[in-house]
Amino acid sequence: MSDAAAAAPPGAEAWRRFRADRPAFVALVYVLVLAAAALIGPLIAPFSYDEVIKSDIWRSPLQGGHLLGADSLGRDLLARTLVGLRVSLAVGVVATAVALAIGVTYGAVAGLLGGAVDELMMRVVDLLYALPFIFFVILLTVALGKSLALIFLAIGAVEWLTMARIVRGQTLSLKAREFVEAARAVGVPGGMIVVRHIAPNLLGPVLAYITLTIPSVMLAESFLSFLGLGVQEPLTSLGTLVAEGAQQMEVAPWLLIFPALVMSSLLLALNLVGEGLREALDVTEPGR
Amino acid sequence: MAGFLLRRLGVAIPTLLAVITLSFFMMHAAPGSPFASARKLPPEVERNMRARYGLDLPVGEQYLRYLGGAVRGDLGPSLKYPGKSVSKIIGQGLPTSLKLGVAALVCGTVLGVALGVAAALRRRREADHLATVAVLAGLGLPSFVTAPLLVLVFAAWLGWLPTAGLAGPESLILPVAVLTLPLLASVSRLTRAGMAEALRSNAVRTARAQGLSRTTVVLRYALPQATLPLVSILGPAAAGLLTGSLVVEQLFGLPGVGKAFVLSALQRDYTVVLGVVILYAALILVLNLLADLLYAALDPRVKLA
Repeated sequence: MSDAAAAAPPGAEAWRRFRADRPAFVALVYVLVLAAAALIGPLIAPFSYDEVIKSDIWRSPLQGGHLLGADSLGRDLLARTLVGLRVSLAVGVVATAVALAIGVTYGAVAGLLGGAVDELMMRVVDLLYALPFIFFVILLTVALGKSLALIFLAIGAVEWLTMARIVRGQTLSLKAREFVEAARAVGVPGGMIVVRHIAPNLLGPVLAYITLTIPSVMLAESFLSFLGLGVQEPLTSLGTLVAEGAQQMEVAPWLLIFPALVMSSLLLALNLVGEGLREALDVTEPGR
Repeated sequence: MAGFLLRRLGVAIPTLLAVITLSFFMMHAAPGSPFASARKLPPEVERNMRARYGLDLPVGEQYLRYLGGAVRGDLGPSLKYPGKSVSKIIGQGLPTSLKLGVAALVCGTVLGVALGVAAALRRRREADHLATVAVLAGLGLPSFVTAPLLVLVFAAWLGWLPTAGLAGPESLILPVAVLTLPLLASVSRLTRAGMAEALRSNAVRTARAQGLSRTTVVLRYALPQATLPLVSILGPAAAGLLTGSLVVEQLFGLPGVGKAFVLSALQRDYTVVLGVVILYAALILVLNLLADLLYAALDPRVKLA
C-alpha cells in the first residue's frame, strides 16, 4: 500500500488514472449501458418476459417482432434476457452488500484488536479459503430451500473472505499511521478515531473490491441457476437462460448464444472495471 | 519434515472436523422433513422411517454416530434410495469423475506449460498472442458457457463428436476440453511469468555463458525453475475441477460424483449432499498438504522447519 493512495481521498486523482485506462473505462460505460437496459428495458420492451405466445414458439431472431427470437413457449428472448440481466445484477449487488457487511466488520474487528485475536481470526479466513465454496452454497440452498432472498444470503455468506483480508490489512496499516497516533495523543476517543480517521480511508480499497466481488457473485448465482438450484420459473436469470438454451441449442441456437454472449461480456467488463479501479486506487491484496 | 507434517495435520484435521460439524448441523436445522414428498405420509409410517434412519435420536447422539461412521468411511444411508449407502453412491460415480479429472489435469498442465514456454520465448509474437487469448477465454468464460457452446459447434453443427453420454473415448473429448480450459489458462499464465523470470536468472545466464545449446538451457535450467510455482496451484486447480465437474457431468450426462451431487441437491437427499461436501473438503485439504510437501521436496531453498 503506497502512501499516496491511502492519503488521497478516493477522488480526482484516482478518477483521472481510471479514465486513462482505456479498456477499463470502455468496460465501465458498457456495464452502465447494460444496467440501464436492465432497469428500463423491461418497461419499454414490446413483449413481457412471461407472455406466452403460442404462434411464436421457437421463432428465429428478427421475425415476428422478436429481435432475438422466442423460446419454447413463444416468450420473447429479448424481454427475458433483459429481466434475467436485471435479476443477475440484483443478485450481484445485494449479495455483494451482504459480503461487504460481513467482510468489513470481520476485517475491521481483526485489524483493530490485533494480536492473538487477529491471528486467530485470519487463520480462520485462511482455512476457509482452501475449501470449495460453491459446494457450501449448494449445501445452504438445500438446507434452507430455494428462494431469491436465500440465494442472496448464501452467496454473500461465502464471498466475504477477500473483503475481510483487505479491510484487516488496511486497518492495521492505518492504525500505525502518524495521523492516528496524533489523534490518539491529543486524546480523541477510540470510537471517534475509527469513524473519523480509519473508516474514510478504507473507502477506496473497499470500493475497488466491491467491483471485483460483483462478477464473482454473479458467476456463483449463474452457476447455481445453471444446475437448477437458483431462480425459479417464470422469473429468470442469465444463468437460467444459458441452461435452458443449452437444452434446446440444436433446434434454437439463439436461445443459448445471446444470453451466453450477454453474460460473458458483462462478466468480462465487470472484471476489467474492477481491475482498473484497483490499479487506479493502487490497492494490493495483502497475504496473497 | 516430520514436525512440519504433524503441524499441518494438526491444522487440517480440526478444519475437517469443523467442516463436518458445521455441515451436519446446517442440514439438521433445515426446515421440513427429508421424507416430505407430493404424497403425504401417514404419521406412523413417518415415525418408522425416522426410527429406521436414527433421526429420532437426540441430535448430539446422531452427530456422534455420524462422526464415528465417517471415520470408518461410512457416511450413512441415502434418504431417497432405500438400501443404497452414501459411500456406495459416491463409489459408483468416482471412477468416471476421476478419469475426467485426471485427464483434464494432465492435459491442462502439459498444454499449459508448452503454451507458457512458447509464449515466454516468443514474447509479443504469435505464440504469445495465442496464449493471451487462451488465458482470456479460459479465465473469463465460465464452464457452463464454454460447455454448451463447444457442444453446439463440434457436436451439433460440425457433427465431429457425440453430444452426450458415455460411449467410447471420443465421448470424453468435449468434457475433458471444458475442464481443461480454465486450468490451461492459469497454468500457461503462471509458466509464462515464471519462464520470463527464469530466463533472466543467474543460473540461466551462467549456463548460457558456458556455451550450452539453447534447448539444453531452456529445458534443463530454465524450465524446472519456471514450473516450480505450478505446484502451489494444485489445490485451487483441484477445486476448480471439482466445481467444473458438476457442470460437465450434468451437461454431458456422465454418471460421476458431480452428477450424483446435483441430483441429490435437487431431491434434497441430505445425507448424500453432506457426504459429497465432506469428501471434497477432505480431498482439497489433502491436496493442499501434498502441494506444500511437494514444493519443499522440489525446491532445495525451502526448509520445512
